[in-house]
Amino acid sequence: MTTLLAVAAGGLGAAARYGVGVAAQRRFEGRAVGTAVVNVAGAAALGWLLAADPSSGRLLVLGTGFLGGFTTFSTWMVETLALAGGRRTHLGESAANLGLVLAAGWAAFAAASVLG
Amino acid sequence: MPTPPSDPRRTPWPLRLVAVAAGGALGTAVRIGVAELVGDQAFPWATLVVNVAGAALLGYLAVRMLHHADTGRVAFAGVGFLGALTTFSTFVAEADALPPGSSAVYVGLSLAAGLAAAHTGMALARAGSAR
Repeated sequence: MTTLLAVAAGGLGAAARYGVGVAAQRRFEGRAVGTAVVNVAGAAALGWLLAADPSSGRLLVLGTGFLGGFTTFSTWMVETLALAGGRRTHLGESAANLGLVLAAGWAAFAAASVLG
Repeated sequence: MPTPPSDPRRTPWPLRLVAVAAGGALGTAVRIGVAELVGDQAFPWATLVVNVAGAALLGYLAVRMLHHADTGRVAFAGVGFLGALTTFSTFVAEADALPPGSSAVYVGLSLAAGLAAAHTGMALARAGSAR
């Protein structure tokens, strides 16, 4: 039952990610901003959730389910490559998308874990 | 993923949202299933496997479906299923929990394998569509 809830929560998380992506696409076309926002926000939310010492069921539904579906690794990888676009001039943007999202996501997670 | 200007096969957004949610639920189910199969390990193999596999498949799909970005199929399989099959939040939490040495290996391996996988998926799709 908890697993079913987690699966449904993953669907909701993915839908929420799509909403953020569509909104970001309108303002920052093709710059991977939507994915960066959901990933950093999702990492912070997971830090905050873990700090609250949740039951295993709550962690499965909210952490593994919702936040797992909300954040994405595959899109981050593909957009990082797409930003480079095979052109050397855009390698900086691509590297920044990789490094900054990792650093910001990890920092957001750590800060939220401490602040709880 | 880069979005091309317009697509005659564009699916209305409420349907795309439903497709994303359905695909996302399925991707989450598979991710949980892989974690169950792999079981508790000192190193986060389960997340590494789904993240790298998802990056390869999405790379392939992104090239094959480049001109159909607003279709229900991309919403379901790409944004929903492959987006939710992989996870950034769990990846960061695991990296943070590992001892420094293993953490560096985990992050380095995830990024190197993830980028290589996405690149391979894209290259295979280009080779396939060139034929």
